[in-house]
Amino acid sequence: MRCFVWLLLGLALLGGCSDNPHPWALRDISGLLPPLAFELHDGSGQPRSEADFAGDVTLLYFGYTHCPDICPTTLARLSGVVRQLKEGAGQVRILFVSVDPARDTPAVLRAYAHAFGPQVVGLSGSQAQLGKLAKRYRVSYGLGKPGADGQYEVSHSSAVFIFDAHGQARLLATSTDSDASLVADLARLLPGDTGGEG
Amino acid sequence: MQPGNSALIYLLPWDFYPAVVLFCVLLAGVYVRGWLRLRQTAERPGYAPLTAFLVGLLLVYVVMHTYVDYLSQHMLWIHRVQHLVLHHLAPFLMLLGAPWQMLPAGLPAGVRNSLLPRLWRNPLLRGLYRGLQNPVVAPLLFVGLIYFWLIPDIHFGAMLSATRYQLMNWSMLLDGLLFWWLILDPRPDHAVGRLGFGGRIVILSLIVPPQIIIGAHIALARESLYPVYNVCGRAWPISPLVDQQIAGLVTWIPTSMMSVIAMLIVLRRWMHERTRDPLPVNRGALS
Amino acid sequence: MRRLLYGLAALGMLLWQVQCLAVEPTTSQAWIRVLPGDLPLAGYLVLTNPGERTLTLVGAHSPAFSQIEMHRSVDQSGVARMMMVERVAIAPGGRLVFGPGGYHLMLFDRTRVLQAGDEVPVTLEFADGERLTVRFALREATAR
Repeated sequence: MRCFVWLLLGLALLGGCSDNPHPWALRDISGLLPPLAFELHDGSGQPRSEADFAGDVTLLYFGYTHCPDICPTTLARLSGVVRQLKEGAGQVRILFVSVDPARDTPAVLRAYAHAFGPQVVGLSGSQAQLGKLAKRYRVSYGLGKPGADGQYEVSHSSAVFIFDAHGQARLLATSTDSDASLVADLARLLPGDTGGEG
Repeated sequence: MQPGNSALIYLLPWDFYPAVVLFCVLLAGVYVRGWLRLRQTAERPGYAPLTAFLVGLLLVYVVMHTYVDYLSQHMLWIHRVQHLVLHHLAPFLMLLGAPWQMLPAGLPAGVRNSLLPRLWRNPLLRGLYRGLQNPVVAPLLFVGLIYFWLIPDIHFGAMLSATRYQLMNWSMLLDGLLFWWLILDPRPDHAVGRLGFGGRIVILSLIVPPQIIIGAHIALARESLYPVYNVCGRAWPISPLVDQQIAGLVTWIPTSMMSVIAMLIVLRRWMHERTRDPLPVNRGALS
Repeated sequence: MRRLLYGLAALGMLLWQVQCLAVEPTTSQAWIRVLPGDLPLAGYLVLTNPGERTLTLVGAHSPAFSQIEMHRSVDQSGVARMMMVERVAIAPGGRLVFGPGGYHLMLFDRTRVLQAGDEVPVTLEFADGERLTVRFALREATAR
């Protein structure tokens, strides 16, 4: 019987019922997902990995440039949020990973990322590289069948994964979270901030 | 993720787990060896237990080590099917295969005669086993685990963290094996608490209502209870509520049916045992 | 007495005219998010139907684009997708918002260079044959 009590206790602890005195506004995913790691290429075709963004808070978002509504809306929102961080903005990078490398050539990616501001980095890679990254963060995406005009639809997870300056997965934002929540939580994640960490 | 063109991708593991391979291969090997050896003896086990055990084991492998594993992480109702297999169906089938006979017979003599008895003498292991097989603890744990992993926040973590996901699935499988062993043990008094057939029928009926309640709760919910599938994306486009309705029904109906089937089996064993009993007591209790 | 009749007649005329005026659908907040290159763009607006009949939008065209479709983004199952929409009905007195993350016009193949700050005309087509030309403001990629 005692064993059972211990088992239940263990399960309760596992549930992560830690009473954080400063709860995050976004969903806390600390310890749930592995640290940031990828091998992709950027808008100039140069290979990029997580090491290039060490020391920065990174926002990982999957999408594709031929998506006229959701992706630009999300990127506009994220870059607007980052701008609100004022001087902290320089320590934040928005990693836009295109899961549609066939259409999103480095040139397209570069122009696209540039349109959303200096904080946005357009990344893509081979299907194998993209598949590995998507699997790492447990997201699914799919390429639709091309229509008569050769256009096709891409379905992709709409979540934004937020990593701290050490590359640890910390928060998860969705379209239902407010700008204020994003701004407040990102400010706490910035390396200079000592107020809210932990 | 987009499945490749090859059908092979559906058979290959989504994530490679050595523990699953080891579990399935070792159990199948020892079981078949034991079955073959007992075929040479007067016991002569038939093909039915062999089939039941191997089908059960194959089901475990399929839900944990093929494309089903991917689908389970991206669709609530497939996750529920995965747990129906791990917690109910597969352990049940495996125990219909009389593993208490075949597995000891299939083990190498050294393991059987020296390692196992030594393990069994270990007070910690013994205490744990007795605790888990306690007639009050076992059904509580059986239902409790279903509820625990379906707490939305716990579920979120389990679906995001690879470690917690593994822990969740193994806890369901191991608890399933322990629980159905308690129920399907052919001895009239199960080791711990001398649980007779009547008591097992009581347990089987007691675990039904909580499973109906949680199944109905999920099936009839008007809002999406498990946002993790919205975050990670579902395996194919389906409305979250439809996904949830199917998931609720899977949690609700087949699980209750398993209890009924198990009750019939236990009842048969009970009656069989009574006819052998030279001093039948409480004969009227059956009616 | 005659004065009263004249008065009533005048009032009736006025009401009739107001009603005639109000039948025209009205639009507001019409804008297009400009993306680089020749990427397809999304157009947004708010369409109000002050009339007494249901208004059905069936399509749109513009000299600035070779093709315009109506789409709706759905984020139901966690995976962002777009669905093509053939027609959208607006109930009498109702309002339809074409906005980010929902209904939008999808504008393909620019016929000329488009720059934020400019305007382009887009003609909305309704099921009853009515047409309505709306000027869409071109805004930067980061516009909200």
